[in-house]
Amino acid sequence: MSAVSERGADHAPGDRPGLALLIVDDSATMRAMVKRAATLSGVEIDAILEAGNGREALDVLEQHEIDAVFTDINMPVMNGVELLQRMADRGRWDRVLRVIISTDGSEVRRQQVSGLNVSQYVQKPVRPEAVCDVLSTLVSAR
Amino acid sequence: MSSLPSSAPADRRDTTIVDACARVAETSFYAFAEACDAVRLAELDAALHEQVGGEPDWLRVSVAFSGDCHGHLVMHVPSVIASELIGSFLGLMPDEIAEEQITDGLGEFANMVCGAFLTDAAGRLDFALTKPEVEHELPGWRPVEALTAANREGTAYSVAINDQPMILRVDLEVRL
Repeated sequence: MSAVSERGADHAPGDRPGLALLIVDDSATMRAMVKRAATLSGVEIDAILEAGNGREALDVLEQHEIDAVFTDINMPVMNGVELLQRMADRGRWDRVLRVIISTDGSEVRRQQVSGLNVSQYVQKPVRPEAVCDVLSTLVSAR
Repeated sequence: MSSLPSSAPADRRDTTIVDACARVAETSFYAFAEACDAVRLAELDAALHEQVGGEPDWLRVSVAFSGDCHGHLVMHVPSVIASELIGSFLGLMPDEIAEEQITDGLGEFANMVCGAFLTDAAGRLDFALTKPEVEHELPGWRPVEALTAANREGTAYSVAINDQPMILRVDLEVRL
C-alpha cells in the first residue's frame, strides 16, 4: 500500500494552516470513507496520507510531518495497538493526535490502549459526520 | 457450538446478530435491515429474480474471529444490494463502483457487523477478527434452501435489507 499525499505533508506542522492526516486501515473502502468525510468536514486539510497497516504507517510517520493518525485495530502485519505502542516509544511523535476507528469496542481493547495517548476511540459502525466531529474537536484542541 | 457467558440471556445471540446488522446497515450504509421469516425471504428472492431478469448473482462473505471467543460470521448478499450498500457508504452511484470496491466494502460491512455483535454479546472478552473473505456463490444458489440447510447445523437468520433478501449466520464458541 502506498501513501498518497495531496499536498503539504512535507512541511513542518507550524508552517501550514491545515492538518496533515494519516489514515491507517487495511480496507481501502474504509480509508476512502474517512478521507471523503475529512475532505467534506470543512476543516482545513493540507494532506491526507494512507497506510494499509501499522508497519506502513510507521514508514509514513518517519517520512512526513503528520498532525493526526486515524487508525484501525485489526490489521495484518502490524495491528493498531502495536502501532500506538511504537508511537508511544518514540518521543518525536508525542504531539501527533491519535484516533482509533475500529469495530473492536471491547473493554479489553479499550483498556489495552488506555495508556497510549489516544485522543478518541470511535467504534464502528461510524457515520461520516462522526469523523467530521472528531476533526473539529482536534482542531479546537490544537 | 456453546452458548454465551452465563451473564448473557440464553437468547441474546438470536437478537443481537440481526440487531448488529440493522445498526451497521442504518448507521454507515444508510440502509434499512430487519429480520424476516422464510416466507418473506422466498418472496424477496422471487422479486429479485424479476428485478435482474434471471438468476441473481450472490456473494458470500465470511469473517472468522478468535481469542476468548472464537467462531465465524457468514453473510449471503445479492451483488445488486452489495453495490447499493457500498455506493451509499462511499457516496458513489452503483455503476461507478469497481468490483474490487464491492469486495472490499462488503468485507468491511461484515467486519462491522461481526465487531458490533461481539462487542454487544461478549464485550468483556478479548477477540480478534480475520480479514473478510468474499466469493461468488455458484449459479443457481438459492437462499431459502441455504437457510434450511444452515439451520440443520447452526443458527441462520433471514433478513430483508432495503427489501432485498439476505442471510446471516454466526457460529460462536466462548472459552472461559
